[in-house]
Amino acid sequence: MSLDRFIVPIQVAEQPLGKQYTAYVMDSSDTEKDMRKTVDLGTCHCCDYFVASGQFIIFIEETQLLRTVKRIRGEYGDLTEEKKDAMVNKRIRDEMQLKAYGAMLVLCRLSAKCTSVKTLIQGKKYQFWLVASSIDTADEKISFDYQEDSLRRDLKGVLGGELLDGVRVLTASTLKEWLSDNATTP
Amino acid sequence: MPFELNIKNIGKLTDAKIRIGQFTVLAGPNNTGKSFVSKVLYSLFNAMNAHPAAVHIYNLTYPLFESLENFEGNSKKRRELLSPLHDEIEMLHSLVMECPADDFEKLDEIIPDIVVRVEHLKEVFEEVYHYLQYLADDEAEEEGMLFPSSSPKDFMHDFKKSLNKLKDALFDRDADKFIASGIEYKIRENLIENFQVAKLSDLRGKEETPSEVESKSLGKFEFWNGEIEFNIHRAWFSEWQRFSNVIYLESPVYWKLKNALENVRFHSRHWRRRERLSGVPRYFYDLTSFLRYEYKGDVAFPNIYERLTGKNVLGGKIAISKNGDLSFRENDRNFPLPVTAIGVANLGILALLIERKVLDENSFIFIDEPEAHLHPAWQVVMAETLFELAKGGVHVVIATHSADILKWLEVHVKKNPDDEKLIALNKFPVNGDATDEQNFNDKISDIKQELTKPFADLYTAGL
Repeated sequence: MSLDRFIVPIQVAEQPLGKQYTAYVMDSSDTEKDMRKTVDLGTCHCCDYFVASGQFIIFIEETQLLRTVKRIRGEYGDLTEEKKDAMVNKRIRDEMQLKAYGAMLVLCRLSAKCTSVKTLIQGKKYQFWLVASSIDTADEKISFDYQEDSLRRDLKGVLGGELLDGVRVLTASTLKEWLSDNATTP
Repeated sequence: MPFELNIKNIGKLTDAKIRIGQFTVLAGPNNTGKSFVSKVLYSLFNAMNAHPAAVHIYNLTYPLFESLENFEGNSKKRRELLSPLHDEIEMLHSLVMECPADDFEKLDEIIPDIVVRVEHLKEVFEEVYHYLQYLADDEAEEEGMLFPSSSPKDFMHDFKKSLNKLKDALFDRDADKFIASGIEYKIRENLIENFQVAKLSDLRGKEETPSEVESKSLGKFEFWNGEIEFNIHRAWFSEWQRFSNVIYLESPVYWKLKNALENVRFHSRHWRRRERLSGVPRYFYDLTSFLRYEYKGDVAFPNIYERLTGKNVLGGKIAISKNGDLSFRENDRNFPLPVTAIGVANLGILALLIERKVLDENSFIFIDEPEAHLHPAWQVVMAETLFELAKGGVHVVIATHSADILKWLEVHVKKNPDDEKLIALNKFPVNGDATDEQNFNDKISDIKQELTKPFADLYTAGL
């Protein structure tokens, strides 16, 4: 089985970043490209994409973070502000933990089926990147920085410090910039 | 020289491990012991960096000075009469001061000379004694003395008694005992005056056990029921002597009130001699005395100084006059410090410390909340400046709540991974075995997360 079948252009907020910005899709509605189904983990939570760069495998999860936060807060309208914040943080943490754990599981099972995946991931460390839709205000940047610090701790608990090397919460434009400046596979 | 300190039962800390590096950060919520720890460490490090033998001889001779002053009041005549005694005591001080603080062998050689000098002092006193008999008791009143003065009879009795005590204290003394006595006194004085507490036990934690600070490179210090015990090696003592200055910088408000605070000390000392509890911590006065002294040599960090005082940051500098008054000099105009912006005082004092050569490659500086009164842009300037000083050799310890300073540090290490080894991060509260083996990124992330949480929560609440 070739990994090439999973190569797709990265999309953020349903818009392609650009033809040249590609990744291996992990969570796809296209059954041919659905990595989870390929390894019999059809209902598993999973990140959207992964790329390899240098010594790292980078899981990419695309999300409308602020819209999600607003929605969750709305669901707990009767709670105090403090409790709403706690619920938001818990829900985001739970979801991202499941996605990171699921992505790792899918990749491990895929490596058992596909030697090119085994070669690709061998000896590498993992990073988890959350690409959030943003209008890039200073407030958002501080808020994302906070989310980044929170997720680093939360995900370390799931994947262990030895595997997970870093967590980033970044905007689509930062991702684009990074992909332009760094060599990645695919 | 990175090292670890174990602290037990002091203030909020029951059992904690603190890491000290070239650039040390103490971070965490209010009331977790950050400032407390930094003051304890300053008190110990400053004591180890002092000249303990000089401290000890000063203490031994202090009762002599006291009886001289009590007798002299403000009488010029009496002062002139007793000046040979003053000179002799000063000679004793000089004898010790000329000996390097950590030269135990030389001090052992000097101690017999001190004993000889004290014998000589006794002879001079006996000579002065004859003149004193002719001095009438009511002479003080005739001279219109302002301050209380003792009678010749009382003075002779007091001085003689103090002289005998001094002789006894010098009996069977060697360099180790001499230096240990000086260190003990200095630690006690530093702790009491830096915390402004009446007794050492006020610093104890909640346990009914001794308070301890222990480090492999510093030794062990124990405080219990007002007693101080310590165990230090000569080599460790020499290690601490190599620092040129150990200083503590706190709120810039102190600098705006400098003249008033110095008056407080002057008056309380004048009326009550060794008054320790004026309400103003000793580290402030320690630093003002450093600034009074004109150090020789070149400015150690000319580039940092130029940047701080240049037009992109302060656009001027804090100047100190011959009588110690501080002002902000901007475009050839002098503004008294009390009318200058308080943030200017914060960064400006740092520049002044560089200019006056108080900060050099071998100094040790503690700063409690370096971000105090600074706009975030200047907090970043502060972070850059302090880290550059640390890279230049200054040991920097900061207690901070600033997300900007920590973010700067995080980004700096990301871009300059080699600099990570200079940094010792301590997240408070540190009670229990808090020496987690977290790496730098995880630790700074943990600290920052706590600092940015209120902002992030408010931001999401407003979505």
